[in-house]
Amino acid sequence: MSESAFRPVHLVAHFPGVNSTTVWSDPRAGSQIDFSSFEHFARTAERGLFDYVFLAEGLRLREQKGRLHDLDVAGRPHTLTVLAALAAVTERIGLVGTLSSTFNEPAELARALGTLDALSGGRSGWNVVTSSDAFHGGNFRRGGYLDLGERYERAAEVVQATKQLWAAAGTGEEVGFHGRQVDITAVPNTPASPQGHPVIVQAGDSPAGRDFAAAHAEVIFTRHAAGREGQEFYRDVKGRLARTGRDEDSLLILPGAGFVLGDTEAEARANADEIAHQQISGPTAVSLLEQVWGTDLSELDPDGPLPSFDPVDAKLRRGQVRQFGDPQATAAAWRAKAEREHLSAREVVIATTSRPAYIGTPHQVALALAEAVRDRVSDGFVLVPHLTPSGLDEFVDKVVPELQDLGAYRTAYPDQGTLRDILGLPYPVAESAGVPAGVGA
Amino acid sequence: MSTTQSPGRGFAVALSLDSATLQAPTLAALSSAVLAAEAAGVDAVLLPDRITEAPATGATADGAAGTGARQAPVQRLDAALAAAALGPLAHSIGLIPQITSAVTEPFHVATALQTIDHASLGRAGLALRPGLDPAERAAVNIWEPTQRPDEAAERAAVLQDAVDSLEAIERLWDSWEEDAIIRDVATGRFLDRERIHDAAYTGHRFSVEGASITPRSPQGRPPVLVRVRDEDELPLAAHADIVVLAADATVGAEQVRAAREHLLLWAELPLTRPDALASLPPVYDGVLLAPAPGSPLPADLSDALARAVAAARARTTERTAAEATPADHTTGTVSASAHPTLRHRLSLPEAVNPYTAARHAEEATHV
Repeated sequence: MSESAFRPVHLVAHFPGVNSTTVWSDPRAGSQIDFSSFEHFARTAERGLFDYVFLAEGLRLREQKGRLHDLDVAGRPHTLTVLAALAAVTERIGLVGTLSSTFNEPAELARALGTLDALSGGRSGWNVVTSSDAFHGGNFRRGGYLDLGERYERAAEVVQATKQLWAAAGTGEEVGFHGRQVDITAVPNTPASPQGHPVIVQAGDSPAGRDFAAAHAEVIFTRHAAGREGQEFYRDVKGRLARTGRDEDSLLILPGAGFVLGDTEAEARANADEIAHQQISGPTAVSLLEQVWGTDLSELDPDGPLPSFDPVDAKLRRGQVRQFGDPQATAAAWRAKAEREHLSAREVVIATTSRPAYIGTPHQVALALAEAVRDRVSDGFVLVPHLTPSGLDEFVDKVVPELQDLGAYRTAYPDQGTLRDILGLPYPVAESAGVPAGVGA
Repeated sequence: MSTTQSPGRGFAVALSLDSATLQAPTLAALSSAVLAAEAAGVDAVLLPDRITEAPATGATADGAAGTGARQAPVQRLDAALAAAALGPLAHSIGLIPQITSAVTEPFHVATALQTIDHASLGRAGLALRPGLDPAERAAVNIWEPTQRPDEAAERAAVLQDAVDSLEAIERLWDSWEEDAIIRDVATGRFLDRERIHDAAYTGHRFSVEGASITPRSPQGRPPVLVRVRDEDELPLAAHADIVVLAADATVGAEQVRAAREHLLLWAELPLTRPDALASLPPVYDGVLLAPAPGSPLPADLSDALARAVAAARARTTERTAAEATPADHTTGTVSASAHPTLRHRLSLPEAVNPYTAARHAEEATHV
């Protein structure tokens, strides 16, 4: 790889999620809940030498207009246990899950992730998210107890407490953490981690989120996937590291990205168009328009024009991060686009909501990914396929060899087997003032 | 679906396998012990667990610990994750992680067990323990510290909370009907939202509003196991499928059995004395074998288990002959099904979703 003009590309396999990106109407779409789907997906990613497989966390089923949202794939496993089951059917690939710092307790997170590290030989990671709303809280003991402003305070204390518990793992030492949000005492009983501690991933985008990332995160999962916007985000976050005394290489920036392949570029574009129409069915287009317009549009013909009236300010979707900005501005932009390009309501939604995607022949996609990493748009990508469980198969069979030919991708996992080794991240310096190893034996 | 089959005609053998007793806290050591138990014909493995330990002797800064010899720190695996990892590795043995209701959110317990059930194709069980040690509650932030601890009141509150947790968990397990996923391309609907139901549970200390995020698992309701020692713990039995009666229990076996229909009653026996199995009173439906506290797994684990399973099979034969009914699926007569569930193996009736049952009953009256 030393002769290559490219930097090594890191790849993460995101199990298809519970939103309209995931296509369930395709005849090839399999179960989103059977373990065999997770096994197929993780083993495919491992065959493709990905850094890790990544799973989101579900804390409540989504609702729209006060009823369960029934148009998207829904229903997913408990994150930690399905990762543990995947540890048993994989050997090398990392296993990373989203876990809320609000609705999980640090002592439980420390021992569950510590166990995942023990079961997998040090392949675990934790994507810290800071959900705090009362809708999710309705399923938990303390409800929506946390003000928005306190969520990063809570997240920081949960991460600090969890790291202290990890540092004491295997020692029999008691850990007391007494903060404003976290006040606990425990003697951790999981084994010490083979990789120092599980890798910390974070997905915040706000200035507070970026500062949190600069202080704690080792990988950032971001939506800034392309071009100048990606480069600016990359510079901004890496720039914040120095203030916390960290090295640039101690943090990887990995945006989410879709991909569509074809034997020719034209075929890939046609495939992308077909997938976009599967993702945004007529009813899904109406559902997304309702989120912008803030009102019931069940009578709207998705193949006709956009609504003729202005949006009202109301939040109809619960359980999902708001996908659109200011409703009036969004509606105005969509109307202008529809008029300019003669688009139906559904076509506007398709044209404006599709995720950043790499579209082309396997060689074109490989080259574009390698160039983006070379140009420091990112250090790699979290790939989000649109099909469960086979969505990565073609990428692994066709794009990975192209990346390898470019000298932009590994041809084997590193000899040392932990996730930290795969990502090329430094091992943490011991933070515990505990009993040194071997004393008193 | 529904069946009048009474459970427990076969005599079950379960092994209590504390990961702290393994040679090393690794998946290889764990699966090797569990696969040995599976090969010996053991019906289920129970994985004991707790979130915190007493500080290792001499390891605390305040030096409050005793004067005894220094012991190696306990190294244990989270039982739910260990059971999940065993799911794809074992093929017929039941996997019953112990989870503490005073520590783990009911929502997390419910979805974790559903996930283990999916990963094991229907072999999960839940051993719920209340968490009566104050040290466990101090490890999490969900219990308000009391100014003047009233031990009796705290114990009552923790036990009530365990009963409430079991009820919330049952509702979450039933929240998705089996046919809730419809994938109806014509209408664009993935779900039939009428077949998913909020838990809508309010207990003494918490509430759970929504449905589970996990679709109904192969068993619907994985068997629930509780350990009962005294009368205060008896309300747990009303939500259980299996009750392990503590060796030093102050309540009687018949008293426990009266708590619920189709309840399996298991005795606790030391792993070193499988012969004692033969002399248990007939009220028992099975045994939970456990190594002596703090001692490692015996080198001859397979032999000890094989002796216990042989004794259990003899009891099954006796019971079957006494009742003059065909042998069932417990120990030694595993079903011909490719993937027997734990409920099936223990001859527990299939779990019927109450919403589905009500819908079918209503449809029947309209025909």
